[in-house]
Amino acid sequence: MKVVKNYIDGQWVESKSTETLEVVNPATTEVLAHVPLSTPSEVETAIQAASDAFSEWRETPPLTRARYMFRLKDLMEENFEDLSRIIVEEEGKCIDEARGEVRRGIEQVEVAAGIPSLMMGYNLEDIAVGIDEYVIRQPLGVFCAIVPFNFPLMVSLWFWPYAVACGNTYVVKPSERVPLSQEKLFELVDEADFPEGVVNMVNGAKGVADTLLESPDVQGVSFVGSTPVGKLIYQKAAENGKRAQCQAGAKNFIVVMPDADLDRTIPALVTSFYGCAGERCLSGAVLLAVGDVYEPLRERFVDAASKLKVGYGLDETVQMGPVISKAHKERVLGYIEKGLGEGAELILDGRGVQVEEYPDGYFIGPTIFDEVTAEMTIANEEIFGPVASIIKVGDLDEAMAIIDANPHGNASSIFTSSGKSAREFRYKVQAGNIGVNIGVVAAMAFFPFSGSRDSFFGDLHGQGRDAIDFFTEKKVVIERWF
Amino acid sequence: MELVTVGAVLTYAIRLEGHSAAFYEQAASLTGDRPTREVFLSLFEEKGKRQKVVERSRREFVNEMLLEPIEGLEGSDSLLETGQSLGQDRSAALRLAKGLEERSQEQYRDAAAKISHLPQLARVFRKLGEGNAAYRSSLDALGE
Repeated sequence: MKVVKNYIDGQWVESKSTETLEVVNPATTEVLAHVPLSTPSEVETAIQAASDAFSEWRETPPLTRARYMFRLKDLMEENFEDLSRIIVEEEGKCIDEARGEVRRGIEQVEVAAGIPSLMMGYNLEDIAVGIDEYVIRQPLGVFCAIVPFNFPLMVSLWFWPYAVACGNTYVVKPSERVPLSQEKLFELVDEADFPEGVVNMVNGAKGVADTLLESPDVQGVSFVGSTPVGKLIYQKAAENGKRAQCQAGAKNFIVVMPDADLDRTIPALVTSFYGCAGERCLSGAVLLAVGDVYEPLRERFVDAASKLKVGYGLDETVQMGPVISKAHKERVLGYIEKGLGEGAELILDGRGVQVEEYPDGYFIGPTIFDEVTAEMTIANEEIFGPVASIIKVGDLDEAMAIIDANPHGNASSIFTSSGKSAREFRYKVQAGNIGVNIGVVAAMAFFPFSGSRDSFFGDLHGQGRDAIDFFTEKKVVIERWF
Repeated sequence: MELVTVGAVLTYAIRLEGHSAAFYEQAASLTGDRPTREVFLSLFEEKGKRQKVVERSRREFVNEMLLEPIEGLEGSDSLLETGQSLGQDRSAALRLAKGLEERSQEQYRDAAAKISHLPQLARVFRKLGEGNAAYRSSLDALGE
């Protein structure tokens, strides 16, 4: 069985660790590979390689650095279907979802290739007579990313192309559950011929993350994962004097107003709640049905969700894949039990879903609870699975009060044909990513992927201009010549 | 077969263009009539280019924000079997080619309507359908 290698200093290196974990296809339950829990000294070697590469890389002209991004983009386009297939195999999402993920990843590389413009500073002559002032953006050194399982390829690309394009060097720790698409990506990094040590990858779990966070040579960390871990990493980064951007958990509320166009709304809701089997931080979780829309919305949402075909994502007739693992499936099933125990009405039950060819796969069908109240566990905690909760509310104010009472602030959407309602929602709701008639509020690469309250720890987000700010120091120069 | 995802619609289109290219290549090799052979060869080249266009569209326009289920769109297996028993009869080959273009045009028209939430992709399909209509005209110009 293959053991995934690390990529350190431009070389593929076998880990000396004797501890490995299985990488399992969640649909077929086939073991695809083993991933090593790399040792602290291996992580330190990667950090050292990145550190050694920094001084030469930061002197490399930005346009030359951009050319590496163009090369990587071309290679990703050439390997598009392979990358997509690997994502399906290791993570379980459907092939279209995987293609969308690869596209999003490529878009990050494309935007980072604009670094000669993005990284420019600014200046003003004669701040006093004969004195000029400049702001120059400079890279800082070694950065690292600790990334989650649910977008195995894309999430590391939210960060490292910008960091590296800015002249920093990098260490990526893939999710130990889904290391194979990162392995493929690093094959392309190798083919693109980045200088040794500029981008490195070390496989493992918490031990690798701890070593990265404790190293004095790492300047900053980008993290995506759960709220408790995000908060911990943010604290640990601060203790160790590092920059940190920690994108954390979510509980996303979707408001449907009585004037919403249900023909357009229902498909968007289905994508939001059940895309990627609900395993994305932008998934809809709670549906807030305002006033008279409740009855038709409930009926049509159940009807549409019940038609989704569940199965192995490589089959293009399948519309929803499995969740990531047996343990996660049990966790989601536990939430369904909790919902029932707290008195919610299960109007679409995905627990018994059968996928004939893959009876052991970690499948859960689309599930919908009605008669949910804002106090129930299923309305408050992140389930990260295909479970929707419907709460009937009287008006928009009541809906917004429920949203703001939840500690998470990742994303929230409204479906309406009223500009007034939409504006009020956008203006007041405390979530970082707001959708108006959009079910999955996924910021494009040239905008920050926002988030607030318990969904984000830090101040500069991933992607867009925030990424350039995060990965550079602004040096001020005040200049006078005698 | 029912095409219920954007990926399925695109994969069907890729297969359709690939099959059409193979059909025209074979038809060109079998016909003795020079003008007909030239049209078949040019359509063989066109279909290869169109297949690349659909492959590129699959890479660029599948938007994970908007993967809404598709209902009521079929992809015909028989369309992908056009010309399986192609012989040297020029008239029969022409008839099959005209049928292929006509049905492909319908396929792209229907698909464009079903994926209107992905306007860039819908535009690609509309243009492919217009191409089929133009090919049909060039085939018509060859007579019976």
